[in-house]
Amino acid sequence: MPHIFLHPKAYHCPACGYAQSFEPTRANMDLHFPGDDIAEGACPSCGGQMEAQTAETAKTTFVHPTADEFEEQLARPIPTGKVTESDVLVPTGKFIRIGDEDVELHEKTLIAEARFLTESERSDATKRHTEKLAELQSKYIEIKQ
Amino acid sequence: MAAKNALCDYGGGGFEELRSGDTLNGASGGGSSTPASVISSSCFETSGRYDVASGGSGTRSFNNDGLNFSTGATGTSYSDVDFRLGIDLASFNSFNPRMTLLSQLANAGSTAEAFQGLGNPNISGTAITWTAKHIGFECQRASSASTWYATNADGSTQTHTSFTNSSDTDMNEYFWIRSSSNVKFYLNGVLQVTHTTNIPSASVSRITFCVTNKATASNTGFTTASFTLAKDAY
Repeated sequence: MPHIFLHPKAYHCPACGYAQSFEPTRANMDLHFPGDDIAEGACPSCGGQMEAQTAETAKTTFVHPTADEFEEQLARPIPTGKVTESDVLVPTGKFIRIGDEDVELHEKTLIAEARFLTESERSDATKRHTEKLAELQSKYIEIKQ
Repeated sequence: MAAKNALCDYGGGGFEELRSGDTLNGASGGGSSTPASVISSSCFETSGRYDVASGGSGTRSFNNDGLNFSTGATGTSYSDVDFRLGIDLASFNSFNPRMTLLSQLANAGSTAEAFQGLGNPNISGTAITWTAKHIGFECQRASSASTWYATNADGSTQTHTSFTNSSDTDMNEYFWIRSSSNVKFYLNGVLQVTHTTNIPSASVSRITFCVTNKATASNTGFTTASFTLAKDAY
């Protein structure tokens, strides 16, 4: 089953293979390794020098339903009894890069998932997904740059 | 009867009674200290403590090795073993939760995926839902080779990063620790990956051990000897 997934590996140490999803600036290393006094760019695992992954290898992939899968999702029967979060958050779709088309599909997904929610749950889910969409878009822009 | 006092090792040989003003696990006099830990752990003593599910030829057993869980050789099979913590991550996510697993790949099938860690992702004979909230370790088997990932997800998006684990058929120690801004993942005491994105903070109250053969007719299974989930006491 396809799923949303992010493969950041933004910086890695070629000596030992250690990887982290943030730039190893002094400020960031102090934040994430407080008290360890790690130099800027240094690997916290072996002390080697970390390198940025190239854009080619720093692949970031997001998943949303295709148009066909969206139709299938709409046709799904509404479950009876209490609806759990996993009932409405299980994504279906294929690996695609996020862009204008993906935004539209994401909005359609919102509609499909909202069918299973109460009014208050729908409001919460919409807020959550809207926030997530903004986050995904900002990451996409960062990668494009 | 006189009350019994707690004993403490002050480094002078032997144990002494805890002194007035001491803090647990720390220096005397109420100074800075390492907080005591609260631990939930198991060596899989009894199956009754777990929720189990399987499909196809998936199976599990609790024996003197710990927990064995495997898909069996029939296609579209899975095995899922869950441990209920009795508390939600929201209650302890700010207390440096951390987890240790002692585990090995016991049956190396051609195709499979497996998760071990905090969280309760859905699993079927074809896939694991990796976007469900979790923190732990992911093993992907493809063409009879393993790729291991440090993995976490917040309910919508997964962050996972591969790391080298060339001896996964040995009993290895997998460890992660969550702080306020990140999760660090270790293999046999060596830091492998640090994640800062999509870290769950609530709605997680189970530990899961699961494997699926992704609709392929091959048997993949793990032996997990024990797990420990700990947090700072305060």
